[in-house]
Amino acid sequence: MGEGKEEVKRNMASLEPQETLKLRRERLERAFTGGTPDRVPYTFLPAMDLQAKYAGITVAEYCFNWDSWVKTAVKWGRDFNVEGVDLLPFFPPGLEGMIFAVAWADYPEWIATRFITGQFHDALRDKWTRWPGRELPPDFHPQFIGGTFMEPGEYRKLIEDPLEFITSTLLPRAVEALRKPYSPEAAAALMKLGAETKNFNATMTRIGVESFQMGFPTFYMGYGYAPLDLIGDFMRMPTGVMLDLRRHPEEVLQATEVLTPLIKKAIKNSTIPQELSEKLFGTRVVLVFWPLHLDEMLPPKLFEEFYWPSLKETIIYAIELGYTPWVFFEGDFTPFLHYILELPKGRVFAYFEKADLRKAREILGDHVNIGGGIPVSILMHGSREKVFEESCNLLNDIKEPGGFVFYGSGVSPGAATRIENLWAQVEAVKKCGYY
Amino acid sequence: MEIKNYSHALNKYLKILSRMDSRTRLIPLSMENNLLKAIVELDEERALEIARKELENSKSPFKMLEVLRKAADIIGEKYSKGEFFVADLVMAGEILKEISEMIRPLLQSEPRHEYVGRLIIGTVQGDIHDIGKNIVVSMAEAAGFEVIDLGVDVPPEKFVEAIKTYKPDIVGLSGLLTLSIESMKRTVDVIKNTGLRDQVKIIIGGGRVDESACKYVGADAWTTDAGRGIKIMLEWVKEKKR
Repeated sequence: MGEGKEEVKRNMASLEPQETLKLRRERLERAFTGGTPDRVPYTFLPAMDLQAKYAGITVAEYCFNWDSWVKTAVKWGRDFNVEGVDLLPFFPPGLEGMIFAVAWADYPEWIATRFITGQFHDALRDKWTRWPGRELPPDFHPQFIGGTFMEPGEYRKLIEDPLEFITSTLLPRAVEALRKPYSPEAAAALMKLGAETKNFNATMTRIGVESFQMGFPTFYMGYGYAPLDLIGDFMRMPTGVMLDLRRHPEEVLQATEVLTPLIKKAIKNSTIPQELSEKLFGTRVVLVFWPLHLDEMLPPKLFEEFYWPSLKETIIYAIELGYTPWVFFEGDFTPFLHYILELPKGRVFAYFEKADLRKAREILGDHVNIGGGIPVSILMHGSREKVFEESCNLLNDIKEPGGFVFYGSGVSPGAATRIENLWAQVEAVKKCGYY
Repeated sequence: MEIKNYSHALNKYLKILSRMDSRTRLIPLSMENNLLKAIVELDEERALEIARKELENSKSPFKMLEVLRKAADIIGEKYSKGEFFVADLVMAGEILKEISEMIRPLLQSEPRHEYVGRLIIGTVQGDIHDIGKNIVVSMAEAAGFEVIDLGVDVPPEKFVEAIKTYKPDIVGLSGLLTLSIESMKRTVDVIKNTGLRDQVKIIIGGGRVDESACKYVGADAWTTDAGRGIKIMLEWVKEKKR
């Protein structure tokens, strides 16, 4: 515990950034795909309010200003560019927007809208999300609220022609600027969105270049989704779906079936070929991101019938294309862990929010590669010593037999986090993370 | 503890019943047991039908209120034991709400009935999520609490004002986001500073709370489980009445 930030930094100074990059990339490639690296790779994903606070700006300023994205990413990157941290501790500030990636999957240049950013929200005025400096005070965390934009009686229409229903009925209801699809207002909004999409891509490229120069690797990430979550998040609210599963089971099941091919198309069109990834980022590992929302809230019987089959189909599809699914098992997935054994061995990276990682290791062994960390309340508010101890214990308990990325916690630490606790984790990784 | 024993016995009874085919049942089930069974099995259609018939016949809401209380208790217990999941609680909450709404007009004409305790609840400042809170509200109402729901994004001052106005036994702080822990702490601090902390028990709930968050916040209890939360609150009001 004696080692301070300065000393950690000095250890790194002996390596050239490109040597560091190579070392970090190999470490992560192995952990993502089931090998045993020299040590457990580590990074953390600060919540948007922590990112902004650390950069000394309001959450609103952060969310709506592209330059602030770059400055914030660079600030975290520079400060934590030390031996022990392997990926840029940064995640672009955005909320769920997968419905756009599905609706516009035939036009991959729009794929940036997979996450609704502040700027996209300004252009579209969607009703799913609430933003600081807009609907919320400037220092609030952006929030996804969802809404009921489809009635139970409309499942039929969704099933008959899902794409038509989404673009002609759902989007006009949920997106203020698109309420009249062919109006000048809608055209102007889409033009504005197009310009902001370009800005998004330029900003992410700038961050990618900065990250590369610091010696942090990049892994390209495409987008998947569970079909039932698409209905819960964007059409019926999760609670609405929970009732529909009992009141209109046949319609819900058919709806997940017709949405599955659309999600597969989004997966295909949001990813890049492995060859291109190798050329651009020096790695053939291309990730596909799934956030799971209804997963552990459903009783096993409903999970098995309505959630898992179509989700599994989309995950296996990504594997068949050669990609590595990076699945965020949200909530406490512990009672459902055994389902993961149905996925092809060694091909999936499972990130757990609150599932017991020791139990996950016990049940899953090396069947999947896993990610996660210690409870977020300890990471944020615990003492430095406690964080170090918990992190070391976790690393010792589950790092074998490889295939583990330590993400600090399964939940993004928020604005009240004691920054020294993140440093305690860096030290824990160096002490207990080596194989 | 009495409640626990009772619900265990009832659970056992229901299990036996569910194994029996209706044709082989020797003793006809009473309205209460039929309704209870339908609610606990989340059979919405049947539960509403029994409730509707019963109200047409007897016009007395009290027997049914008692059934709702028992149902909420069993449902909570099942969730705590891992037999029920959030989607089950949402369905159960909906059934309880629908039946409560059927009873409500009748209650207004009856002499004021007694609540087991008074709860004020809200999602704390900075957070506008309410699914978890709403589950607790419907289960607490079914368990016999008078619930004052302050809504979402509730500033600490509004909780203080509500404590002064309603003099509740319990304050429930809900939140989904990580930032809600900080906001819960601020709320408890303001309640302390205004000298009201001794007058109420405080329970926190939501996806990010745990033992260490509870200590940090300065609450009396924490839960990620609505059923367990109701149980804790029932024990508090029982203790208070002793």
